[in-house]
Amino acid sequence: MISYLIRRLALAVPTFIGITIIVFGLMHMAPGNIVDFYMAANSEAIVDAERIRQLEEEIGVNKPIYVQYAKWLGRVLVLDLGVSFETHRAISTELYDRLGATVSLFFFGHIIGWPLSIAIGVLSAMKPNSWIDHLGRSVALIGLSMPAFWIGAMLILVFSVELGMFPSGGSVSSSMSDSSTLGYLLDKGWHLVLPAITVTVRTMAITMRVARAELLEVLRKDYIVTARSKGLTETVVLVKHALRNSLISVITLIALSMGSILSGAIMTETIFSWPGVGRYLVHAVNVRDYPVVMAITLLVSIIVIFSNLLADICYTWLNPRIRYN
Amino acid sequence: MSLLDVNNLTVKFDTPEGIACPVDNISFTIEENQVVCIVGESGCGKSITARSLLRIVPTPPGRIARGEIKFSSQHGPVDIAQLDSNGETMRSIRGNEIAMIFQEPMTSLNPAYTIGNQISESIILHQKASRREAWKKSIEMLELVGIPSPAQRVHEYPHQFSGGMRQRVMIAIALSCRPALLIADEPTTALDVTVQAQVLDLLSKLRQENRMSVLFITHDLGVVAQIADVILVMYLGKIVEKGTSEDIFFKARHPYTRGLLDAIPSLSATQRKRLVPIEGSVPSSIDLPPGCGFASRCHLATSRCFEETPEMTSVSFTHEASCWNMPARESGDSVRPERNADS
Repeated sequence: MISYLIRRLALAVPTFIGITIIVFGLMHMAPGNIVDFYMAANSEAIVDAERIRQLEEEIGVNKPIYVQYAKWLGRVLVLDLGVSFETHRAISTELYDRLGATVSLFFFGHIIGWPLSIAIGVLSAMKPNSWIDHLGRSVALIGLSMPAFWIGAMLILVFSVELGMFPSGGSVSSSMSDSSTLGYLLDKGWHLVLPAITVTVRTMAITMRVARAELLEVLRKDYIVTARSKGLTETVVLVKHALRNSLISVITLIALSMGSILSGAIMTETIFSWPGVGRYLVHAVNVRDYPVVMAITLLVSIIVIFSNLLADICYTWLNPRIRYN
Repeated sequence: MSLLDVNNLTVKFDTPEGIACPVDNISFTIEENQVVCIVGESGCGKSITARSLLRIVPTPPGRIARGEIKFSSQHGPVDIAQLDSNGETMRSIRGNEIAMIFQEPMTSLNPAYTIGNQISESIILHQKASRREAWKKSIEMLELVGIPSPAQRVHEYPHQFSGGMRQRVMIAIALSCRPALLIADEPTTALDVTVQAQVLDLLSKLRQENRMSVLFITHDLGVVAQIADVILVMYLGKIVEKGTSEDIFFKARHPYTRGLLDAIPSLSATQRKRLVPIEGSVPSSIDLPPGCGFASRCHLATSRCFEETPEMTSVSFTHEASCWNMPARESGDSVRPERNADS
């Protein structure tokens, strides 16, 4: 098992390098660099060509792309993410400030959404064609049919613009700076509701459907009949004998959808002006802040690769036939 | 009172095509320490009968439409047909007083748990044993069913066992709570012939040691001849003939039973006799026409057979059959089942 993990981690290195080369290349194919964006943003400023060249020299964007990449890679290997072109602050500090918002969105979205959708899937499978089954499947179909940006926009339209129940964006009210800790937390939670729903609805829909289908499949197996013939209660049959065997597909699904979950977060953060990493990435791409884009890319690929590794470890627990040697 | 007394049991299935009746008005009894065999081809209702006794037929679509299943439980007589299938009384009988083993040992054990976990589960549930005691008992049970080095193998998973060994594990689970009745639903069908014989020997040995009754379901007449006290021949949800081994093998009266016996190959047959198949196939049990279910395949059928359903009629004290045209059969021309002839 340990040697397997080491081998998997070693194999992850070329994957990381491949991803960074592709992203680096794509970034540089987009027209313009950060200096051009400064110029465009401050059109009244008069800057001569000599100064522009000097600036480009300073941040290194005038060098050939492979030189820029090699320099960047050299820094990353000593765990230095570099400095933002835009703010001249260390990127690790910039990310640290925004990671909290993204993590809370992830937590309130998925860490609640996954178990909830598995639970609904289980209830549906236990009583196929009952009202909860029909309700769950209908909601899942609706959730699957709508892209995240549309769901977000509709939620804002209905719940903030029309009903005024929830804020339309941001992570905290401006009036909250001098309030108590509890009030502050409640205000944060209040801001979280709509973005958390937006970020998780699609994943929940898919997870629910897979959990239901897989459990129905397992409930037809011979060993479920054996379990019932022992005189076990339905709950034990379901939770001990059926659920564990049906979770493999759900875990696979969650691990594989990690990439799209993170891209969904980018969309959601942009719609709700959520001060997280996703919105920062969009901004960094817009102003061609190369080191920031690369740092976030690296972060996302690490999360995806590790969640897949975690899924592989989960398999050995769920199914003892799976052993890595 | 008998251990189990089934009267007029009828099981119906509500299917989109109509109401099917896989078990149609059957009655039989199982006495203490008796081996009763149900014989019949696929789809004749053997397994549904067996599963109805434990109330593990999925509802819907299945339901007990009529009849009673009287069982002499430790806590007095109960009618299983009237019990809530997931209620406490039924669950305390299931796996404890009536246990079951199945046809497919390869898929009947949960792949995610160790053998020890799956055996001790029953013991913890029914005998209120601690985890440690149940584990010890599991090792003893594995030893009893003849699994070598049980103390190590108890920690292993089903995929580390062969088919025959898994069926032994299933037997260990079934017998762990010393049931009064063991239902064996084609337990040897999926096994190699040599392993079949071992498992049968094991079952007979354990049955005698535990003074346990067995309801044995099979389509293998060779197996039946070896173990049965009473044989029930089922066709299309009905019991068509009922009797002792001798009644069935030497004095069979129903054309279907005789057809089954004629279809057994014999190693000891002196002349090169062709096997006689039963022509046609089993009709669907949905919307059955009136009359005898076997009439369409029976070479003795008369117009009466297509109109009226024959009742079970007594042939002798132990022997009953349901046929309008029961032929007399001399005991001399019977076909001996192979296993019997060899042993």
